[in-house]
Amino acid sequence: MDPVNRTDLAAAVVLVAFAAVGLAWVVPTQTSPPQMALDLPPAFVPNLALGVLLVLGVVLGLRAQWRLRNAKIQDHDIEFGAEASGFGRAELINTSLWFLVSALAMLAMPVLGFAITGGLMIIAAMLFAGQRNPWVVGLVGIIAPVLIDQLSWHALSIELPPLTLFTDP
Amino acid sequence: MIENLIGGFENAMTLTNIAFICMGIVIGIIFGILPGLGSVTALAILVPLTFYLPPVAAIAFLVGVNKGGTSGGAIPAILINAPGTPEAAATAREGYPLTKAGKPVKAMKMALYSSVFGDLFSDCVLILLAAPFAAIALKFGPPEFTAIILFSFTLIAALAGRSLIKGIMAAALGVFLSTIGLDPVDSTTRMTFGEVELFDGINLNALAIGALALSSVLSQVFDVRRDGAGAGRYELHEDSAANRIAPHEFWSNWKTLLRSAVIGSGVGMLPGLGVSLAAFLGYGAAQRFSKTPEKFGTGHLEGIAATEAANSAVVGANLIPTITLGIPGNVAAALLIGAFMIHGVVPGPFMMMEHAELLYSIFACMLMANLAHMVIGRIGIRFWGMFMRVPKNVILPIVVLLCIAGVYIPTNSLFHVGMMLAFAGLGYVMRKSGFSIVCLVIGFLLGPMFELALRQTMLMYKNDLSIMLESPIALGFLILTAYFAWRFGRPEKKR
Repeated sequence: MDPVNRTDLAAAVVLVAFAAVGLAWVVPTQTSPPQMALDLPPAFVPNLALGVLLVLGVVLGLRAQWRLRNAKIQDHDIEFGAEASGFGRAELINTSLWFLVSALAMLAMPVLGFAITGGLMIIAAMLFAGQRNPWVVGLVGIIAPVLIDQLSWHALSIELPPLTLFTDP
Repeated sequence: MIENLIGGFENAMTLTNIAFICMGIVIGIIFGILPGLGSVTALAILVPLTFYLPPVAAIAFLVGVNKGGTSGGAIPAILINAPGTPEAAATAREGYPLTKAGKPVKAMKMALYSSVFGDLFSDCVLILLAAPFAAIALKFGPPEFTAIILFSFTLIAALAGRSLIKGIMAAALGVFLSTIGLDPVDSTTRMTFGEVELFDGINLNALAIGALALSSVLSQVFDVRRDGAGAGRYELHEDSAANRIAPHEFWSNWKTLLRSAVIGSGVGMLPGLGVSLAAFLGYGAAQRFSKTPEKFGTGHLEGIAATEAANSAVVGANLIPTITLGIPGNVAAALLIGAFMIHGVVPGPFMMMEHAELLYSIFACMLMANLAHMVIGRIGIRFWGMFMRVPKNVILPIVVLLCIAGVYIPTNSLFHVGMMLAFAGLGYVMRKSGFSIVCLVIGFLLGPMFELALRQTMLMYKNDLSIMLESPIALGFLILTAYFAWRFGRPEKKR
């Protein structure tokens, strides 16, 4: 099965569902009626955008299904070239890993501060990407976030999230 | 005017002014390189610091920051496919393939020279044609803006590549995301779910840096792990001549440069449109009119020339409505108005009469800044090239941290950092699925502008949209929209 067409089909299903939920529930419950007689309702543009997404999502899904049935291989994408190789198991794992790391970073940063959280993130990323020299990992992991933190304060007078773990609430 | 300009050069050519111009450009470039910062953040921080400077030095410094900040975003876009500013997204599209081919220096040179060209062009437009162009800018009202923005949507067709459906879907998603926040006309909430941080809408930096820059970094980190090439570097071409740009190679793109500079100047003159739109319009137009449109996206120097000339041309032209009418062209111009007022100068129709000497000194400083930009940028290219020697598994994690800091610093909000991280994940999914992130950003940029202009038109003209056909400017853009929608909507002929 061509992974790109399979991805297109999956993307179409997800986006059609997203658009349908948006149109049926999100926009009607999260927008107000128009405040002026001559004005467009606030829901107009969101509904228009979701409507386009819904219709084109259906078209994309049908096209992908037809291509899968007729074993048509998609041309490479212009913007991403071979990078747009389809969204398979590996990509799903990568995406899940990223969202996990992001969630941990967002939980840690208000407590541990930018310098410590950033340092942990850099060290983890370097190890993940295959850097094994302990001096490089250690020095970059400490110096980079501290340098950014200090430059932000001394050059721009902006304090990045500080360590609050040991301060009173 | 020539005598005034010569007098301006006499006043401007002091060591102090030259030093401040150079300092401004260096600081601007650094801010442009750091993802999420850019010239607006730099200006916001630095305007108060110019209080104690003489007026000419202060404005020259800030103009240098603006010029450097606009072009600085191209450097990370080219080197690591992580644009420092949203307007450099199209530069990444052409510059990064050149980096992969071992020609990052060539790409950076093209970006620099094109930036300086665009800057110089718009500075000349400002100096020579400020007053008459300001009069033209006054003729643009909501109907005209609606037509221009509708025309800009046809960019999506040019930039969506082979899959127009996916491009339009990405743009539609961008438009939907742009509607989150307060309604632009009646300020009621839309899709905020009661979250106060969303009242201002999704932060453009969070979306653009996350979806464009950080998603690219993520993708590269995962590729590095998969391929086991972590210690690999971005290699320079064996033949150093491959990184040179011959004058004829640069000037062979003169039509594109001129077209983009005109587009950038036009967009800059009209308040509210912005640098990013100019960059995308310039790139889209270059692709449309190119003899080799299939080369765009593969490392085509013409694409870099188009984007950089257009986005830099906004800088000078932005000052036309600022100086002549006191109306800022964009946020950067608004900050410059603040700087003018700190020094006792009120921009507006009387500025040219009451402060002619100061104004022409500033014009002279702007022209000198272009030369300084060329020299400093050229020296800087060697320096930035050194980063190519750092292993990917060291430089990419550092960029992640810079993105986080870059989004936090202007907003002081971890919520926006969280949004950026989420958009990075979305951007990664879009990359792998072949959905255009550039179209997402275009939809996000154009959506609110289009909605506001359309609703203003309807309110002003009591729902009578025939005004769009009665205004010659609006009608012209509508015809262009229909033509380009037809031209790019039809199936491509197979070669």
